[in-house]
Amino acid sequence: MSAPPVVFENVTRRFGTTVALDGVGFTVAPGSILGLVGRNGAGKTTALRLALGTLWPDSGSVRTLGLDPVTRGQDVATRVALLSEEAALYPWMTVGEILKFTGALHRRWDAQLATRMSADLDLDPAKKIRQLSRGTRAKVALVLAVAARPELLLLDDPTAGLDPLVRREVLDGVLAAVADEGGAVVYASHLVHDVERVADQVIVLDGGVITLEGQLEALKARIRRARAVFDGDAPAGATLSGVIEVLCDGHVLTVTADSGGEELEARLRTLGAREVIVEPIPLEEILVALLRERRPKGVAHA
Amino acid sequence: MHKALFWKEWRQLALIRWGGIALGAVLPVAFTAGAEMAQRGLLPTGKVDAYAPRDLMYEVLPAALALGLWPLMALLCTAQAFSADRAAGTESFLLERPVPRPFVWRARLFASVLTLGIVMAVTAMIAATAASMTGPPPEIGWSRWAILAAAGVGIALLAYLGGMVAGSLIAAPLGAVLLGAVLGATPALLVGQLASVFPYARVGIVFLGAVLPMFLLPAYVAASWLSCCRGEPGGRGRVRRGVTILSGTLAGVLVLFVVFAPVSTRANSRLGLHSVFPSPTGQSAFVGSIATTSFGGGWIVDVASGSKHGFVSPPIDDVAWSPDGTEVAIVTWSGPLGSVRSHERIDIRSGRDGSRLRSFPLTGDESLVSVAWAKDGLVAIVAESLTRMHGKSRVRVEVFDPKSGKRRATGFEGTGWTLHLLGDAGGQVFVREMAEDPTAGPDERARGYFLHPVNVSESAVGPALTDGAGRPVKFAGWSGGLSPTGRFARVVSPQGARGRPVIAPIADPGQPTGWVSPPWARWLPGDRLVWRDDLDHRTRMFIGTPGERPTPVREWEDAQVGIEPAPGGKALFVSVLPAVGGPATDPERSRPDPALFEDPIERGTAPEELVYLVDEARFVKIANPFSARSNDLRYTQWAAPETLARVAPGVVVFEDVKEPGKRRFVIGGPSDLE
Repeated sequence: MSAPPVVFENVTRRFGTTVALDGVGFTVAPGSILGLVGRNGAGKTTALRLALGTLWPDSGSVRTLGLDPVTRGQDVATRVALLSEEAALYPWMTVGEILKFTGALHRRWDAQLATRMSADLDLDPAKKIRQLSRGTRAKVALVLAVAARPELLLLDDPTAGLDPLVRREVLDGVLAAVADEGGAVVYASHLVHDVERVADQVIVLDGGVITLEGQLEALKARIRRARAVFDGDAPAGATLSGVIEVLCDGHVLTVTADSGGEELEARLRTLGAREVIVEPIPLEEILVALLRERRPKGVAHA
Repeated sequence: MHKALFWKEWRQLALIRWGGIALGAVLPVAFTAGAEMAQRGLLPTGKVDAYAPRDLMYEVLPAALALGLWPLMALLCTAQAFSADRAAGTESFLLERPVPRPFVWRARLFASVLTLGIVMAVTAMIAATAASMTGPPPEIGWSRWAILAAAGVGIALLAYLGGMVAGSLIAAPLGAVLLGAVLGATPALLVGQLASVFPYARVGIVFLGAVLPMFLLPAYVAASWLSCCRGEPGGRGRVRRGVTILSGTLAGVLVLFVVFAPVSTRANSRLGLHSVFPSPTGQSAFVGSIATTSFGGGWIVDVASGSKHGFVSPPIDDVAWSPDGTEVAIVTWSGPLGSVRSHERIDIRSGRDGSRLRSFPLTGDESLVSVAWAKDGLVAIVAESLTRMHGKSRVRVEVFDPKSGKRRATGFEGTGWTLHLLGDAGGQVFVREMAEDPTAGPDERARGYFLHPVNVSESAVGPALTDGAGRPVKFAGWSGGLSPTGRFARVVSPQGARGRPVIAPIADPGQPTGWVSPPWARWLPGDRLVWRDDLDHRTRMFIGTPGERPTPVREWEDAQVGIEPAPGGKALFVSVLPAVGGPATDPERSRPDPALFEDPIERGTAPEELVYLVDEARFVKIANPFSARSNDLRYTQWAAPETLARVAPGVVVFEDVKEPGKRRFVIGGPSDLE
């Protein structure tokens, strides 16, 4: 049985006095796509670089494809590719040169795949990187990542700042590669729609800690938003299990909770709600609710 | 992978490569244009009447390459190779791929070294071509070129290594250039500083201060490698690792230097030849290594045992024992750990164990000309610096009290080297003042000297010694014109400076005793004089009392005879070396009285070594002369009234007159004499 692509156990990493990850633990299942979402500075990039081995944890343990990235960094880098938002490409190289150069660095480089993908993505091998648009540079980075035939692909907001068409093109490329190879993907992004479209598993990071994790479909099935109307003032201080967010507006109490729709409705009715409407909510709404709830006091219910 | 990495680094250095070559091509034109503009008065810096294109091309241009372009290119190459990727944000491209970081480091090293080498070679060829187009090389040929090129390679190497470590530590290329310049200059500055402040810390002819800072250079390479290739790839700890290596090596270099500088200084004081300064009482002696212009360190030695006490660091300019032999004044520039200070001082040390009892530091504008120890204090002639006086330095006589530590001026002054000090066995110190004869020619103007007695307790210098008529006596013989009792004097011959001094009663120098004396003569106790004189191939040794007929003591033929009185003057060491063709005498000096060579006298051989016991009027022959040839770097001095000091390179051995052949090695051992 192959090792899980990524295993974090109680991982902490600091940058000076800033705690980027604080006791984080999770496991990525083989062949799955993990969506790592959170706002900027949540620790997503740090987690990916820890998995690749370019950063080392202060405490805890990281295993990537069963290897310790600290001691087996070269082996990890051979089997893992990172595709990031600001891909570090040499601006003075042409597309053809950077493909050739990168191919010389990878033992598992698939030149035919690189050529095919370049053609599919309409890349001109004679053009210098500095002459390319941001979207085209993202496509080049995608080819460089995928043609290395990685067993694990780490995506660090690779489509941020791209127009929807290119975003779709890049994501489709990634999905195709994963489907072909049967590898795993960790997709870190604050573009929740994109993550929701491709991820099997989701982890929400905020302030260096995991605030929510689970299978995407299960989460979406579990987390519900209920709108309860009371005859008098809504009970703002009511205790409800699994609450993510509570908004009180006169007679109306809006509750987002990780407790299942029926249980939530029953509880609200016992509190005296005259009318309760329970509905599923998209991942982005869940994320917004989570992040809003974790804001400093005095701002959350403004 | 190596090829790809090298290709990438090589391409990234292309701009610097071509830029450097272009700059090297522009330099000859720029210099010529600048000189031409200066000749036409177009430069604000001033007008030059003419310039020599050949001088520009053969001197200025190679210097500009060696001191300017090449070091600059070295710094730029390393900044580009080692820090530009980080500055441009492309460092992570390789870090995120399966590329061993040492491979990347090596590619950067090779590409930057090759780039620098090409730039240096091409610019040197361009400059040499430009120079040869101005005409043939000057008389010294291309040697200046070669020297400047070699210096340029050395400077460029320092700049390269400094730049390499700077580029590895910081991401900003401009900052790396500046830091690289500082780091590259650091070993050179350390070498200059340590070698000049610690000139006696040497291993052979190599200055320790010039060697140890060179350990920084491999440390630069190690710091760069460790910063780039070890630790977290993301860069955490990179600067800390590099700084730790650099500061650790620097500290190690300094610690090694602090440990070995005094050790080597002391060890070097054992090498070479030494000079022995016996104390008046004969209990102790100072044995000092002879360096170039001063003594290279030495020891206070117990004469009876030959054991060394307290080491005295170099440089030592002068040594003077107190009349009772309990203290010794040492004029020195020495500092801690074998260093040399910028200011001179007098150290008063114990004559028993060498411990320092007191110091009299001088200011930076002063230096010591002469010291002599009177029975109640120390007298010194202090010179003011030449720069302060804009010409001849002023010298003044001062008195130093070793007990109170006070220093007092006597008000007696002179200029240049006109004053010196002489001490006699009774503890009286005289100021010897050069007497000039304005009627003589320039070469003979300095004729004799006056002696001024110093009253230490009054801090005063008295008037010159006078004859019975109250006229100052003009003494002759640089090493002592006044007899021990003060009754007789060697005075300047009426025949002129090259004439033989005349021995006369000091009360009436105009009525000489009828004696003349050769240039070398010494007073002995009881107002007796010992001297040697040459007549053709014969050399005789005489002893006599003024007014009486001198007694010839021994004679040699074709020999060079040296006579050295022991402290107290009761024994004379006589060293005789063969002198083919006769003794070396000044042919212009007047011949001695042939009558003095008529009496038959015992004849000695050459070589031989003897000790003449003055009171017993007999010779003690010392078998197997310590030195049988001139120029064999072996000689004998007195260490005490009855103890000889035999000196050879790396050897000082004491030998008692009464037990010849029984030796006490102070420095070196029997094997060093073989």
